[in-house]
Amino acid sequence: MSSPVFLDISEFIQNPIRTGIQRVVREVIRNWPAEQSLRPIAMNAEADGFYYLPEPALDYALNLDRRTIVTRAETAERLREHDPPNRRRAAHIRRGDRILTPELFYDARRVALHHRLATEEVQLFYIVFDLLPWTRPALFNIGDAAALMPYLQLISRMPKRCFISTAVKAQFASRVLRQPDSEDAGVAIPLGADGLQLERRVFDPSSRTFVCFGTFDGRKGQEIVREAFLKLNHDNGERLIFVGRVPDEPARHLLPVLSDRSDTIQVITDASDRLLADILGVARASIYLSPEEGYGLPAIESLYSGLPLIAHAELPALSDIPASGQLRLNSTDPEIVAAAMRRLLDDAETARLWDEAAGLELQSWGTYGRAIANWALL
Amino acid sequence: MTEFGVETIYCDARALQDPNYRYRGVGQHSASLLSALGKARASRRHPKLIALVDPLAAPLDRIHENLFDEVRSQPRRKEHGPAWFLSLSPMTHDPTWIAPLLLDEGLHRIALFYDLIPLSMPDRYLSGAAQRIDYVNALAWLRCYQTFASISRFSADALIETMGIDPCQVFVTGVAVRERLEPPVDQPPLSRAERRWIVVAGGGDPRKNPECALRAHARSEILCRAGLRLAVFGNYSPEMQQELQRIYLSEGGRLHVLRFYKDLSDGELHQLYREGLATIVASRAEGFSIPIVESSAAGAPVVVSDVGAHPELIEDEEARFDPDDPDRLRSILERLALSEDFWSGLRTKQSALWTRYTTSSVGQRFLDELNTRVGGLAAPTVRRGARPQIAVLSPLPPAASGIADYTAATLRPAAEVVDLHMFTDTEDAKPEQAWASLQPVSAARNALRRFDAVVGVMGNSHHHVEVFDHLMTYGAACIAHDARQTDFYVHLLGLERATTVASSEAGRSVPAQQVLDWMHNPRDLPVLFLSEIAENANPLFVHSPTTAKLIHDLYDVRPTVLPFAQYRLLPPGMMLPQQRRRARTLVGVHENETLLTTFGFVGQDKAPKELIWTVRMLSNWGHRVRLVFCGQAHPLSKASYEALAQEIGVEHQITFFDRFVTDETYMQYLSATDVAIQLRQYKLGGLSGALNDCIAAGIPSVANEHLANAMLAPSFVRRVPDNLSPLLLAETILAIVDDSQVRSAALGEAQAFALEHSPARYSSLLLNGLGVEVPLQRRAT
Repeated sequence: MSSPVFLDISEFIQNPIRTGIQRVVREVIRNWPAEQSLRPIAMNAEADGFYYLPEPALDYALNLDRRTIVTRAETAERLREHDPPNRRRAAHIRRGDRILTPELFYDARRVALHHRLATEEVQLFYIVFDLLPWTRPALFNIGDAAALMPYLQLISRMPKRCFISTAVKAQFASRVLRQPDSEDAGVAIPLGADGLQLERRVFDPSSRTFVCFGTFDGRKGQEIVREAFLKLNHDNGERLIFVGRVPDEPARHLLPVLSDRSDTIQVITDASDRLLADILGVARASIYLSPEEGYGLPAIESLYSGLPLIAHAELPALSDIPASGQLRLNSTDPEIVAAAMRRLLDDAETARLWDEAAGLELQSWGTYGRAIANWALL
Repeated sequence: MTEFGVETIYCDARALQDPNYRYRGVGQHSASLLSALGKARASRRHPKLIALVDPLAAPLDRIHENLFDEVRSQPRRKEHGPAWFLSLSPMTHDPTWIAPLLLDEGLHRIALFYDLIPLSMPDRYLSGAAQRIDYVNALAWLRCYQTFASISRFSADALIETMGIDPCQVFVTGVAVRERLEPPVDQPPLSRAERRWIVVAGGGDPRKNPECALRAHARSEILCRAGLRLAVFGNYSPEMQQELQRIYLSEGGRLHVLRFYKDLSDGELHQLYREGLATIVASRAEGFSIPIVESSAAGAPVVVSDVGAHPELIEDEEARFDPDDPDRLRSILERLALSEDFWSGLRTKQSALWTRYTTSSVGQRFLDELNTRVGGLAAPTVRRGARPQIAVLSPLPPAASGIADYTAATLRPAAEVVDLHMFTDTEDAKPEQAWASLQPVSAARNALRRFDAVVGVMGNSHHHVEVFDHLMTYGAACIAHDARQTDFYVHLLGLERATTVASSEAGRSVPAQQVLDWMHNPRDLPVLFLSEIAENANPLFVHSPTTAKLIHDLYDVRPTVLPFAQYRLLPPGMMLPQQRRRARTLVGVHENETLLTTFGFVGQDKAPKELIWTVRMLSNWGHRVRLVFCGQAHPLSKASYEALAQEIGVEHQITFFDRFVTDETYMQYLSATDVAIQLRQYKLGGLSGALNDCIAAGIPSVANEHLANAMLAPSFVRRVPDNLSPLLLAETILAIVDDSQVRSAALGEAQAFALEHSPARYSSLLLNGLGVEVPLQRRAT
């Protein structure tokens, strides 16, 4: 067995929530090759160092995605029980050790710690998710932009970067390093597409249901999809199902979608895995219109299940796969989206796209975990 | 249309707030007439009766408040349509407070008129210079009224003769006796034998002259033998009573028959009159005399001094005396004591007197006269061809205020076509040839009548306190420079007032701490602290369409947008290559160094940390840049920004000033800089004088979208998102630096922009917004 890889998941253990980034953290841990040693650690701010995460704490945080919804307060209480500060065991990081950080973080002390470790010739590896906080700050209504800069400066200084898509890597090279043609930006390893663990389906022409995934966060374009759908003829039982969480205060422009009570449109805001599988089991195609995503995992996951996809061409997740089984759009104009949906109501055309989707070789999380381990141990 | 042909009656109700008047003669008379108006209002479609009260004085008593439909604290007309203005006390309360109404040609102005006694007794009432000035001032404003409701013929004649008022403008109402002093229906008068008093109507004012009555009584053996004691009522202090007792003793009187009464209830007073053989009213001057009517109502004959309005109330000369002739009074009193016929005859002649002065008859007279005399409103007079007179209330140079400079520079062109009268509290403001006059702000209220328009200029500094007070009291057009007035309220009007206004604007109770938080973090402000200015300004001018929209959304007032003018005179040729090279040498910029400058006071809302990180990004990319904060930085803030610069390794590329930046240095950096960056993190439509300068100079600049749009900035001001990102800032700066054509294009665009934003155009738009018609040949160009 080679020397261990330390996994800095300070944010994951201190604030475990169901974000896309933390999903990747879970998959990295679950799919890390058994023959390789992985030592999850977190920062101990008082000691300006790291400590080993106790197994119960890690198990609890790791399996939060499989539990029913728990409150933040309850989560914090459980973690205090499993990870009492007075019983933390220091992780002594030495020259030559490898630390993999699969997180985005803005804690200036943590950034400073990483900089210090770099000077001590510790090998630092970063999974880089996206640049939206810096390129599209309005999406997150960021007020204190200066607070986000130490992390960006850190990863621009550290050479071992693994991007979740080629698109993000290219963006980092051209906009952060300003060396678009450089090979020094890092590697791109696309995320796993098999998270829903569904069997691949075959095309059933009687299915006339479109499914549109995504949180109602205001930028997924559900209102455009609805408008496009309403332009169809609806002669043969066409239906549209939206699946996604609704924030406490959804954007005003989404209210027509959320309040739609028509027979042909359905909004499912809290789908279990089983319900999700059932929906994908009756769907004809999926739609994912947002170009402003860190990745766009739902689009890849629906493709993995065999469904053709209507998506924005700039979705980062598509940058690492061929265009097979997809209608990639360069616009979010409802007319253009409606035209794509009409194409997918044509049985012959749809059958062809189903065949193409079936032929796609999409990466699994298992492959992803091994690829990350190999990269960090290279 | 309503009963009186008007929709609204505004009433200066300060007399009902004043403890010296509210429950005494003026207050009682006013209340009875207002009550008559109230009864008329209750009958049919009635005009709205609005009390205008001084917010700094005592509030109206509930009994008075109920006389009105509404109470307002600003003496201004808001309703459209025909309206009256009624003053309850034109000579006793500062007329300049209600100057906007007295000058409003759209109002019919009515005064309740009492007397001109101070003119006939100047030693008593006008002994001081201030008193004389106030009285003459009140007399001058009295001419603004069109109709006078006088309390007596005597007062009416004095008004007509002394002031030269047209008799047609004056009518007489009399004064009503209070209803509780009217005789009860089932109460017969006492017989003469039952009456044991001679009653003297006195009062604290020396002109009431009780001394005459005391002397007359003390000198009379007859009255003494008849057992007729002397009762003096009025508000006399113990010292005054002792002095009167001394006089009484010195004239031979015996103190046990002299009684003083004060603070009598209406019932007690009525009973005192009723038990009197006669009432003496010995005053030296009266515009009316309510004790005469009250005594009549109680069935007691009255003997009065032969002055003022007394003869028109008591026509019988046998019942009148010279106030300086106690023996004449004594003889009348003795005759009353001795002769039942004389007493009965006098009582009979006077018995019906009070019935002409009941509340209903006085009120009806008032209403009838108003209906008869106040016809259609005359159209306002227009002076054609005259040069418009504009008053501007503003700080002026050399006040340390950008607004002072702005006002002076942008209004100079207006002075070519109108007479600009500048009112300022800037102590050492120098008269300019352009100004028709230069006076303190406090003087403006005395001259409102002269102006076609009055414009207050508001900002957040102490230079605007008097302007604000004027605006709140008299109303005016207003140029609101700032997008919010938080600092003005907190620092200059006090946290309590700021909290009150914040709560009013937010529609909920806002804690004081939250107001302070908002002041320090304007990004979080949900309101603008502009509601009072918006309410009192007509019209309200702002410089940003964004602010205008916010004001409309928040306060339902639609401001007029005056595009911010370029007012600073930049040195000619400062952007020529050789001048720029020279400036760059002077400020120490290397030839291959890119100079980034952000102008103006350094504050958190101008995103200094983001700018420092921007330097870090540009340095990462191999660019040699220097960032200059060309404005004073607070030492504490500066230390934190320098610490950040040091932490990320750009400390040698950042320059701060810890002192006020001189004009010379400012101009050098304007000339030397490659890219100007002006950011504002709060989104209230605020403007930037510095960005204005950058645009005027044609400097390729970067600004966040909100600020750039508020400034209507040209395209050479590149926009970055309001949610800032040093990455985007750095990219935008590089795009400018890499564009070799950008500077020449900017200069061309700047010239076109300058024409649209010139002081001349600003002046022209302002005058247009004020509704001031300027003859074509005189218009500013």
